[in-house]
Amino acid sequence: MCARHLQFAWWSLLCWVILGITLEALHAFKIGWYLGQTSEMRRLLWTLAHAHGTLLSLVHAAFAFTYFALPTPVTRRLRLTSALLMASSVLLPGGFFLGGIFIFEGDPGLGVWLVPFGAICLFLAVFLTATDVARVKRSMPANSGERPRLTKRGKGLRLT
Amino acid sequence: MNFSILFSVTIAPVLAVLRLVKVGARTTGGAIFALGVGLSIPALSTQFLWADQPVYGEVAVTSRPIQRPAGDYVGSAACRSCHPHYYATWHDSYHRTMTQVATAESVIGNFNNVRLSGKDLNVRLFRQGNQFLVEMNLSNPPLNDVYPVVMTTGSHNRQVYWLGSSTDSPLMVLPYMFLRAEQKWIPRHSAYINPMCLQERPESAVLKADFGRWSYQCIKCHTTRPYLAAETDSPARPASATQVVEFGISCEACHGPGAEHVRVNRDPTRRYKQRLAGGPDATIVNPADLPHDRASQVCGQCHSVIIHRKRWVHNGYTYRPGEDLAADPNRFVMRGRLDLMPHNRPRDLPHPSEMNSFWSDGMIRCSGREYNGLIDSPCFQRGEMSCLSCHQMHQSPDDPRKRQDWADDQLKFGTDGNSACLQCHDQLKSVDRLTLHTHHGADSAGSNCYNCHMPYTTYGLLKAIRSHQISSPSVTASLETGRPNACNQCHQDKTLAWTADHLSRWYEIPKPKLSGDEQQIAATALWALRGDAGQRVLMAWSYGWEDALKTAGNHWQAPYLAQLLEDRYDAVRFIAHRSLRRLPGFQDFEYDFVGPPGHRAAARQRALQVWAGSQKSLNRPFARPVLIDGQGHVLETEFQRLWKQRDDRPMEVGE
Repeated sequence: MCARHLQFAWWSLLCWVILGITLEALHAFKIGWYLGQTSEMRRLLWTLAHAHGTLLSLVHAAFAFTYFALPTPVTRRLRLTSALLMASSVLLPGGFFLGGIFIFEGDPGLGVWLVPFGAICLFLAVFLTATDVARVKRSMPANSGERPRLTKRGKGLRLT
Repeated sequence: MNFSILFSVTIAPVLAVLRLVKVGARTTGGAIFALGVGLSIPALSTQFLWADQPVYGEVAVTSRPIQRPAGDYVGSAACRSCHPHYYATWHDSYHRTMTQVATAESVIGNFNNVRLSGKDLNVRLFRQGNQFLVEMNLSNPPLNDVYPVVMTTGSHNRQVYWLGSSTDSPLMVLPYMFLRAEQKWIPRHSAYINPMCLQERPESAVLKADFGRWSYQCIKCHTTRPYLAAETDSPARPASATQVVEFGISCEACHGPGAEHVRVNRDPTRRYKQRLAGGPDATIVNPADLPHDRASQVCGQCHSVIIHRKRWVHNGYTYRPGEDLAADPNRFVMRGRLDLMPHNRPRDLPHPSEMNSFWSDGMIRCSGREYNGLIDSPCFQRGEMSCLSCHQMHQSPDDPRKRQDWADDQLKFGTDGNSACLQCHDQLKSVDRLTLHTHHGADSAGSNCYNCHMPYTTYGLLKAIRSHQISSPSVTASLETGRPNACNQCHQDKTLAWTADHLSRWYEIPKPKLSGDEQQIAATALWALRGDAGQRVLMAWSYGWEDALKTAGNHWQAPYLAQLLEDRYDAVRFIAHRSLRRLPGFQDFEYDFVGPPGHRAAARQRALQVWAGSQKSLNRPFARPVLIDGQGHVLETEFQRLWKQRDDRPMEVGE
């Protein structure tokens, strides 16, 4: 699971770096389709796509390191969290990017409708991760100084 | 309501996922709470903070009229986020800057301690920080005070300044205006064909005539949705009691009040439905979607000769874009002839001939009233022509011109040539047919539709402007009205007889009966020397018109322009000097058009000497009708005979 998210993090970061370079090139060569007065919405959406994509790549890396540091068994809940984070990383920046390809004046293209779904996925993924971390913290002995190990025993997680 | 729907739609998948992973009730509650807080912030902000347009901070301003969204009007700021391109193109137009608060960005005049002296008024223009100030010294009645410039009118060709005072009195006009192209101050009374410039004390006359003028005259068309002081019913603070939704001509002047449009389109689903459906939005007026007559009326609400009914003072304008302008009970669009107006017209209207706005056959002769010309045109009456056939109020995204080039006339790209007319008259796209119709070379000025059918017979802004009444050249009309015809305006060295002969041969137009002078002397010479001030000013401009100079030569107009340097009307002298400087040898010719009469006579002599000198080097022939003999001598007797016949009746062109 951790390896999958790390892999996703770096490959996705590479994609968004390429988009960043492309956007810089569009600025450098003063491409009217991107810089024109009627393209203000496109510039905003692609900037948002670049920013969200890059940051979500880093979130994937953080996600991988979190579960590496707090190893949990691969439960249905964790698989769902992972899937939600993956989905949000596609839907959020992808929605912004697609919404910027064909724009209406003052409104993004239809692709932007992916964004709210991505936002809900991200909310759930972050919420589930946060509650996971909180539960682990509650069951950790104070100042143990050891890397905790979690095992599944009955319902819920137990520190061993 | 919208928030409840949004929350329900969002919470459903969240609950489904939380149920799937079987989290506890406390955790679920925390998730819903967090999501609720996240959604509430933007939703509440939209509903309560930005739902109503902010009232500008101008309610505290007392020295001038204020801007304040009112009624169903929300102001242009509300349009910007959804229509950024249209907003930007409007923002760069001269419609927006027609009225502005005086700031360092809006004031184009030179206020660097400039001193101006008139016949009875001395003025010093200076700045203190961001404030523009005017020190005025009037001899009679004695007046010596400093006034702040609070507002400006215009920015394209010239700018007029309005002065506030500390006594809550109406705005006073600065009796000087700044010309943008010339970067020069001129007396306000000199900028118009108006007998005011003939008075002994013109500055005092301007101060008196234009005192408070902004709040009852300029406000009508140079602002968006004006409310006169009587309508706002404010306490007695004459300057600031006058309110407008926005200074300048902004979005709602043409699209109608936008409050409902803004309100319903806060819903994104409605916006996308509307965009995908593609039809017009019923909550706002788009003049481009209106029938040609109603679309033109949107422009005509200002660009026409309008008589405002007295009730406007209390009721404001009731006309809204898209409605029938003719049905507006508060203003009446004047026509150039009684027979063109409806029988049920108000009884107290002046006769068109008293309006100084029309030629005697009813054609409009002053600038800014193009709607009058349009509605009397066959292309409007029998076709679909509207203002928007040639003009566009928002520059198209694919228009390659610079924004300032478009803003000059707000013409559609390409419509400065024949393509405007070829939209309907497509049979003339063929070069053969075009030359057959025009009898001129296809690439010559004579084959330009505008030059024959929209000649420069209206006046305003210190220049001649194309007539917006589509017409055909007619010697009869020239004889009956005194209006220059297109043929002679270009073929300036030809007589009316020459024109009548050609129109007869080419278009079978009957020749009218002509007098001896009309048969032998160039028509432009007659208009320039013995015409009224309105004709003389058009000739003063025409003698510097590039197309005409190519056709008729540029070597013989100087004596006429030199004569017009002595004209009684300041505007005629100003334009004559400007045209003179376009002739060879006169590029550096200096002349003070508001100088004393003695200086004018001297300037004329100087101009004739310059011209005589340039003739020796040019050695070009002269046509007899221009009253210059073969040796290059002006036929002075004839010249002065015609000059003495000039129509010196007081003249006003009501631009």
